[in-house]
Amino acid sequence: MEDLSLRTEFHRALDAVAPPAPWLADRVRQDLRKRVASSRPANRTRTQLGLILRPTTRRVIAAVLVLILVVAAAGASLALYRYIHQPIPIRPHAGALTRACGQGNIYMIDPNVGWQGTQRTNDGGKTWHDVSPPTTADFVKGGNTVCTLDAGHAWVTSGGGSGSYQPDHLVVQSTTDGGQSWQRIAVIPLGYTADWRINLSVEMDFYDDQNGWLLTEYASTPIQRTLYATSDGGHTWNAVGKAPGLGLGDLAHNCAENGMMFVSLQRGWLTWDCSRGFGDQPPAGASVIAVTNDGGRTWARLNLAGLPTGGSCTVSTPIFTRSDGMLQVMCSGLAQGGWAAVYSTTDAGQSWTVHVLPGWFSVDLVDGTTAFYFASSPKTNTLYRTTNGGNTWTVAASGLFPGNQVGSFLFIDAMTGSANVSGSPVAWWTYDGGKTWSPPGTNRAIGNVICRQPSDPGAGTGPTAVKMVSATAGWAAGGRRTTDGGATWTNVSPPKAKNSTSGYGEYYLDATHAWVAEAVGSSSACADQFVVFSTADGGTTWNEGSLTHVKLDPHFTLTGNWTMSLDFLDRDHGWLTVQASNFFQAEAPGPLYRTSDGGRTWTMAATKAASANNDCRPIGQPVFSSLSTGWLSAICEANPPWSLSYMVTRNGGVTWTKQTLLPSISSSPPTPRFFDASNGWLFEPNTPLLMMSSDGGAT
Amino acid sequence: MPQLPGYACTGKHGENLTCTDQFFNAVTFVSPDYGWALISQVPQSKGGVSQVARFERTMDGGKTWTPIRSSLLGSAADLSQATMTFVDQTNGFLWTGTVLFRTTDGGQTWNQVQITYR
Repeated sequence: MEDLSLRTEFHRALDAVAPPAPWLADRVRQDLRKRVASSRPANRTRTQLGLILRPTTRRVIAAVLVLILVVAAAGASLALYRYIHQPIPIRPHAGALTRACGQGNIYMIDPNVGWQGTQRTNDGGKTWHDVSPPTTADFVKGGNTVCTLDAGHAWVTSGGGSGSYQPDHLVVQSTTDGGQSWQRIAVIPLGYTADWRINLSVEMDFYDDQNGWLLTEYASTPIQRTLYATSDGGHTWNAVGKAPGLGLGDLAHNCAENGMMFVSLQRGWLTWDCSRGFGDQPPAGASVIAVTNDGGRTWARLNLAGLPTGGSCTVSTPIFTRSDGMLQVMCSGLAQGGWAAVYSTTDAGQSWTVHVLPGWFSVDLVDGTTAFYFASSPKTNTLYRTTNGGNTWTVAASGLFPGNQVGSFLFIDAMTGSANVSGSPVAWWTYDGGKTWSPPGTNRAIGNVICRQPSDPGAGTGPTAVKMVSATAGWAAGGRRTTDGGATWTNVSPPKAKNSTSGYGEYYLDATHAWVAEAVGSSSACADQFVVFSTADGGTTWNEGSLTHVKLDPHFTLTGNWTMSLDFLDRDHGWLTVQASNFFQAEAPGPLYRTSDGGRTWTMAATKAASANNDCRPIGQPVFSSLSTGWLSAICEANPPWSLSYMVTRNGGVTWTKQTLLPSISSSPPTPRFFDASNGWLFEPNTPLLMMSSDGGAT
Repeated sequence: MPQLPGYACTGKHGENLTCTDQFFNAVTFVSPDYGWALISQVPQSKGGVSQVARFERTMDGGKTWTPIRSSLLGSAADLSQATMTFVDQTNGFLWTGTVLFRTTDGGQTWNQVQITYR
């Protein structure tokens, strides 16, 4: 009882919070020490410092130390709590524009330089060059993505491993010189394994050339998500956050990953496209966007106001101009039809305001406040623009491309953009915010259609369609010629005619005589004429023939572009057929022209090289065995097997009749060859079949 | 009646092979009588790689064909898209699409032409 009372007195004396009588503390301690010392034998202990302390003293010291530790721990905990829970300042990118890095779509850095995956352009998209990194040695399908940040910096990931079903690691390669050189900078092991292939999505985003994130998402049950971060340009990656699946559960289950974007080092978004995914049915009503405010450590579903339920939605990654941002949501599968909206923010993505669009329009987000969309009807197209984050839309231009549909379009900035329009082989461009549109470069346009430019059939690294005409002389496609048995090939092609377009034909008779036909446009059509160049000196000089207007049979419509096939019997007499450039576009045979002055002038022999009842469609080039007799391979059946049939003329091409040699062959009829008016042969390799004729093809 | 050389799936040294396919790469005539035929086959033992099986010549318009001991036999060149042209009875060219071969002895000896393309 004495010890208990002593302890009570002792603790009361040491109570720092509310000492009963602080001024008595020293006196009490001294009195207690005396009383304890008199009631117990001496028990001394030598400390390491050589001090001899009484047990009571040791207890006091221990208590003080414990007190100090408790205070220190509390302070540290408080500091840590404040660090974790303090409001994180969201500072958008120092640059004016912040957007997700390019991941395969066209991503223009400026009006000239851009990326499309690892294709790169330096001329505003007119030409693209593949600057892909080399394929990794242990490449395994899956896990590929690309992130293009600016003109120089880009990263790619590719799957690697020893199994064939899915990668067990990701290889990261990077470039700092626009793809001229690539370095293998990191290997990220993939912790999740499966003994069957599970769709793996990889998303990557770089805030700047040092700080980036990489997400792996397996379409498994439950969904396996892991986020890695780098702060040294991608050389080292560390997993961020400890919650399984980033704590998002089965958010966006069965939906395809659609992107990742960080507006700052703290705040970022993950987006999904639920109009496509990995399930049997499109996932309905799934959430499509999640947000982090701590650099990816924790994530939460972002509830966008006004988002309809029950449909399949897709959301774009946001784009920002400083603190102003936009994103787009498109939903389908709803009872009321499609639903589309843009959401805007003025506080760097902390809060979003919905702006529902009047239709299911695809919006191109240019920056944090500017966007465009085309409203198309069968007759015309109207371009709308917003400059206030979608709050209001104004007509930028109306009556655009009447009769043609606008497909994909892209604005590099508020003034410069391009649009793919039906019927035009290349995109139209605007440089005034969409008010006016023009063909790129030297392209010519007729109405809403950009005319195709002529191409060089001989472009490439070697000859094609080689035709040797002697032991030393020969020709190849595109006016390439050899005089040394095929060792050396030289371009001796004629110049391009004015307003020439993509239609082309050529014929090489012997070592010196050749003809090249070019399709030519007029003020009212991209291609409604042709001109034939001829040479009699092996291409040293070419004579340009007269323009010949292509006159079509009323029942003959050439959708798209057309080309030509030539045949010459001798130096003077030749024939030319006009054909749709696409085999399947040909709805009826084209007209046939002939020349008797070596190609300088051409007259129409027949408005259509076909039998009167149009039961066959000619294909390939005409072959004339004499001035009167000519052949055209013909397709006379709707589907294979085709018969061995030909259209034959016996009056120089004016009228044609069908001649069937065999009821069935394994491929389309081959072009016959003739040595003279009587002797000829044909060979079909797939049946196979060899036929000879000595009576001009009659039998 | 003209005919093509018969199908006999034989190996480089005359041995019988099991063939998954055999096809004519090219047939050409320089006159109504004089012509050549190039035949490939795909022995299963070779993992589906086509080989030149036979190179034959006719001098009677395809009625009869005679094998030629040609250097093309056993060639590793891909002849699946080959076209063949003879400008006379001795001078011929074989264009594979990427490689040009030339013969000056009627097809017995073929040499690859080193191409310079401008």
